[in-house]
Amino acid sequence: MSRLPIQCPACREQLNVNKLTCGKCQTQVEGLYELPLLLRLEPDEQRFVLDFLKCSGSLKEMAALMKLSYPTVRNRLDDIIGKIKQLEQVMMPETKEQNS
Amino acid sequence: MNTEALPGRTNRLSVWMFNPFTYIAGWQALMPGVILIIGTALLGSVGNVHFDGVLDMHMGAEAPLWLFIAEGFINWLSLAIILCIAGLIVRGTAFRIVDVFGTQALARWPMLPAAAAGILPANQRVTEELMKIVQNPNQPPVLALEPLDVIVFGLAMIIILVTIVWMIVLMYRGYAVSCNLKGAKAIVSFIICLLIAEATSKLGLYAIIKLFPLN
Repeated sequence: MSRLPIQCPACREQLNVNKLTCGKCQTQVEGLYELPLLLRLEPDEQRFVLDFLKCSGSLKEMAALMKLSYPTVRNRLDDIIGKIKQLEQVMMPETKEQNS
Repeated sequence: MNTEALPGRTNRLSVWMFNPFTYIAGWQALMPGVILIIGTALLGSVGNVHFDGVLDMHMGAEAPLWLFIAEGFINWLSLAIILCIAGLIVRGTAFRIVDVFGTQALARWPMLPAAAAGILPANQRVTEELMKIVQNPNQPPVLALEPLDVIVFGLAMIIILVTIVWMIVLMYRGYAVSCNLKGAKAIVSFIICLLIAEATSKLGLYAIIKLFPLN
């Protein structure tokens, strides 16, 4: 399956979901749905978040599974946390506008 | 498990050489690091190769074994302690102290081949001749050396220079990984720490020789 685009190729703004399709009966749903924050991360970052949850949030276990050192894994987590915070700041005004 | 962030096989060797702390840190790095520091000191004591400063390596003066070991530990601890303080100031958030101490201990491993290069008989002969000139400044300098000795000495000096640069790269990588620092902030703070640690290690060695005189 193609990689999910998260940024507009023309103006670099965040993209929203416009159409959803059922994989079985091809029913299509149209609307304007905000892309969830986690889906705005890069695929490898999403994978990291999922693995981190599966390890019950244990960095030591993550480091052992990924065969990387503890600080390398912790730094990767810190980078993703930083990115999530940035995305939250970008998404906040959109959420406020929708609520009003 | 996520493998996209991992380097490929071709890149893996260069990572192990120049940033092994991607794979090893903390206690895993501390244990072999300390063993290698002691090993370097033992090797250095064979040929009177002194590491009298974080970045220093000199040959010549005879000394008891404990001084060679003390030099290794003073150099390691001087930089590790200063980098911990810098990490707290620059980063502002918590990090594991054992990562800084572990990575800095292992970062000194290139000094082992440097010590090995230093104890070569040809180097000993050239050093003895140079020491004679330094100790007798009033006499005209005469170097009674074989051409092969000079070539070996020159090659050893190149190897030692390369290993010192390699060690500095490892020290920086260890600091950057342990404290999660990047860019100019990491480079500038590391250079300042290195200069302070160089002076601190010299003072430390001076103090230990004052406390426990060699003669």
